[in-house]
Parts: sequence; C-alpha cells; structure tokens
Amino acid sequence: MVLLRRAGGDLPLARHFILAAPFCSGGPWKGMRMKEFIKGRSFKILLASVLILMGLLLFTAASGNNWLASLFGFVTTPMQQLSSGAVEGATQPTYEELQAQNEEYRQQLETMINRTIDYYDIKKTSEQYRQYLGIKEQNPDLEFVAGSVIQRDPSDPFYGFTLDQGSQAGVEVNDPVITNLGVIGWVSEVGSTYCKVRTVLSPDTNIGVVDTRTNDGGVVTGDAALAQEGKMKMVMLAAKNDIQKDDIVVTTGVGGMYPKGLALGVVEEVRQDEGSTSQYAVIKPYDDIAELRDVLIVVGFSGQYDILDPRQSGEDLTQDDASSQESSSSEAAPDASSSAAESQPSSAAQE
Amino acid sequence: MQLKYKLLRLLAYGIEIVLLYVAQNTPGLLPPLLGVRPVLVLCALITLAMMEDEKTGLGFGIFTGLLLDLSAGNAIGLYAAVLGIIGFFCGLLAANLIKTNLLTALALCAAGVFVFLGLQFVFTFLLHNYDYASQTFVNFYLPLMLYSFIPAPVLYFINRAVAALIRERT
Repeated sequence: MVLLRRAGGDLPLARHFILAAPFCSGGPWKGMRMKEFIKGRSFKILLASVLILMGLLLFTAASGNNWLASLFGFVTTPMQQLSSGAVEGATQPTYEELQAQNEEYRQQLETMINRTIDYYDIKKTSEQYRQYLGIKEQNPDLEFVAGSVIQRDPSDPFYGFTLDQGSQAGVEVNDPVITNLGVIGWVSEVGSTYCKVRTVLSPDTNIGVVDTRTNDGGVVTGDAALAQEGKMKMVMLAAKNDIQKDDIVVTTGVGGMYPKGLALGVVEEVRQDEGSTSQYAVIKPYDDIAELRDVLIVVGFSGQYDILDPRQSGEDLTQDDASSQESSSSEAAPDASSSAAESQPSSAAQE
Repeated sequence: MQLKYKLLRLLAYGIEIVLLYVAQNTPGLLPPLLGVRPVLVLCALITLAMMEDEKTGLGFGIFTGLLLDLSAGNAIGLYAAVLGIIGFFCGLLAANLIKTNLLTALALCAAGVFVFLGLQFVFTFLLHNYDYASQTFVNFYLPLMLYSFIPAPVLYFINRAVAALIRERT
C-alpha cells in the first residue's frame, strides 16, 4: 500500500481533502510505502511510547499506588482552585457595584477590594460553619473536613468530582461525603492535596438504608438511566414492603461505612423490576448533585468500620429516632439485607 | 532559529492545552448542553497535530491524555496511549495525505472525538457491566460527542494562527 502524497480526483469534494496536483506523466510519485513507514523512525517512536504507557498503566492498576496522579495533583490542584474561586467570585453581584465605586478613589480602591474579598471569604466560611454546626448538633460524634469542588470530569455520567482536601487533611478512601441535607457520595481516591468523590448516583455505590416511616430496609445504589435525572434507586426491598412516595430514607450505619441516621433522599415512586417480581424505589436526593460546590468529608465517627450484627444492634430506626438521634427501647432489628449489602468496591478494583 | 520558533509554538500549544483542560473541568464555567459539558482538549489536540508533524501530535496526545487520566481517576496511561495514537495519526495524515484546511480539520475532529469518547464508553462503562448501556450512550455520550465537537472550528483557527504567526519568516 502506498500513501500517496499527490493524487488527483474527479469528485469536487476530493479537491478539499487530497493534496491534488496535475498528473505529470514523467514525474515521480512522492509516495511512502507501508514498509518504509513501519521501518521509519516515527513509527518506532509511536510503538515505544505506547509500550511504555501500557507498562505504566499495568503498574498503576496493579499497585494501586497512584503517586504519579498525586504528583500531577500538586500542580493542577492549585490551578483548579484558582479557576473555581474565580468563577464563584464572578457571580457575586455586589462585587461589580463596589468595583464601579472604587474607580473614583484610587487610593481606597485596593483597600476596598481586599476588604470585599475578605468579606466573601468570611461569609463563605461562616456558611460552611453554620452547616457544620447544624450537622454537629445532630451528630455529635462526627468529625469532618470542609471541602470545595474544584474539578468535575465532564465525561463522567455519574457526576463525580474532585475536592481540594486530601490525605494531608486526614481524608481516606471510603470516607463518606455529605452536605447538611444528606449523603452525596464517598471518597474513591485520595492524593496529598485532593480527593476524588464517587457520587450516590454511581452503580458502584451501595449504602444500607431504612425507611424512617415503615422501617423497611434496602440498599441504595446508582443506576445509569436514573443518574441522568439525578436520582438513584433502593433495591433489595422485602416482598411485603410498605414504602410509599415521600418517605424519607436514612442510613442504617450497620455496615460501618456510613454514620447512622444520615438522610439520603425522599422516595419518588416504587416500581416493578423488569423481568422479575421484585420492586425497587426511586430515590431523589435532597441536593442537586451535579451542581454541588461545598461539601463535608466525614473523616471519623463512632462505629466507623465496625460491622455490627443486626440481630444484636436492636435499634429501631423510626422517624422520631432518626430526627432526635436517640435509640429506642424497642428490640426490633433492622433489615438484615441492608447490613450485608453495604459495601464499597475498592478503588483499585475499579480501575 | 527554526528550533527557537518551534519551541515557542510548542510552549504556546502546551499553555493552550492546560488552559482548556482547566476550563473544561472548572465547575460552573461552561454552560451544560443536554446535561453535558464539553471535553475541549480533544479538538485542540487534533487541530494542533494537523499543524505540526506526527511526533508533535504524539507528544501532545500523551500529555493531554495524562491530564485526562488524572481527572478521570483511571490508572495512569490509558487515555495517554489512546490520545497519543490519535495525535500521531492526525499529524501523519495531515503531513502526508490530506490537506490542512477547515473541512479536513472538522472531519478529523469528528472522527477523533467519536473514536476517543466511544473507546471511553467501552472502557469505563461497558467493561464495568453497568446497566442501561445503550440508553446512556444515546443520552449522555452522543450529546457529549456533539458538544465536544462544536468548538472545533474556533480551535482550528486558533491553532492555525499560532502555527502561522510563530514561524520563521522566509
């Protein structure tokens, strides 16, 4: 096969694509044969690059130690923080008003801009602390770190994102990620200065939950079809469940991966599974996961990684208990299916 | 002297790729279309590879792929290898077989975006055995391909300007 550098074509469109020149009857073809191409230097460089990258891919996939990503993170994380901060600052309406005013006073301009930036920083921090206080009052045993979304992968159909906190702040893989409204994901990868979050919309997420009204247990997981609507589903429902629209589902905490009593969302409807007799509930999270900016990473809580036997826990997660966080005297055990199913696939296994 | 201009062009392309990467990953910066945001670096890579040679296309393909590996959380190297190959062959085609103009740039961008995002769909979705694959491809990946292709003409003219301006005058 010859890759022709000069060729002609009668089709009009070909003139735009192919390097055309009138045929010269005696002129030589400036062609490159396939054999010469394969023996050429460029192809060898390509082959070597691909082999090296394949080796790197196998090494990072097998070792699970993403030191190269951490190294890149040192460079790209500050850039992403700067870019995210700039976008967020640009939407504050009063900044433009102060900017117009400050043009008249050259000496005061710099002071006023600095004071305005400090004001919004303090306001944002105050809002975060307000959310922190609210959650802390409801869950006094929680320890968490505030994080801001600095990066979203546009090609992730489950709206995963990157936060500006990493192992230096005490974040570990599988740490729950929440807002003041409820659970929104878990940490799937941690670098020194960043961490990646997989949301509750991802099929890799499995959280043991219970309906606060009926005490019906199940497992919340993601679904590719529902993820486009910003919703998830609750599966492994008992055959005779009483789950209805507007019920609230909260975590059971039995698997040790999530604190007990954190809200996930509200039931939208209960559907029949296609091809089987089982049902599942469509759950709508309280937050718009695709638009989140500020979240909290739970780095520690009472009972973390303790796998409780549901027969021994004996706690009744009714609606009153979920809101007041007091254990009931009732000996009713939560649904055993939720404890067995609460798990997160390891990050290494997912790569 | 030619080397100096070449290095300047490479620096300009590198800054362009990094800025586009930061822009595409910044939450709230680019408006969503049909629920997706574009992957800007793909068309930038293909058009710059067309302006240069296959080695430059390979190098920038690897660089761009490493950035995408970082944001996607993959094991490092997958996207780098794929984009390296795409950049290499785009540069090779433009140097040896096809003209470099807007029409060919759009054709190569369309093909490159489809191949890369199609492979991403295979590797990150199909191989994980998730449900509703066809629905996700139609509702997410096709709009993503379309939106990622839309900036192609602008990126072509930007890279053509860089290639034309940062060049030794003869």
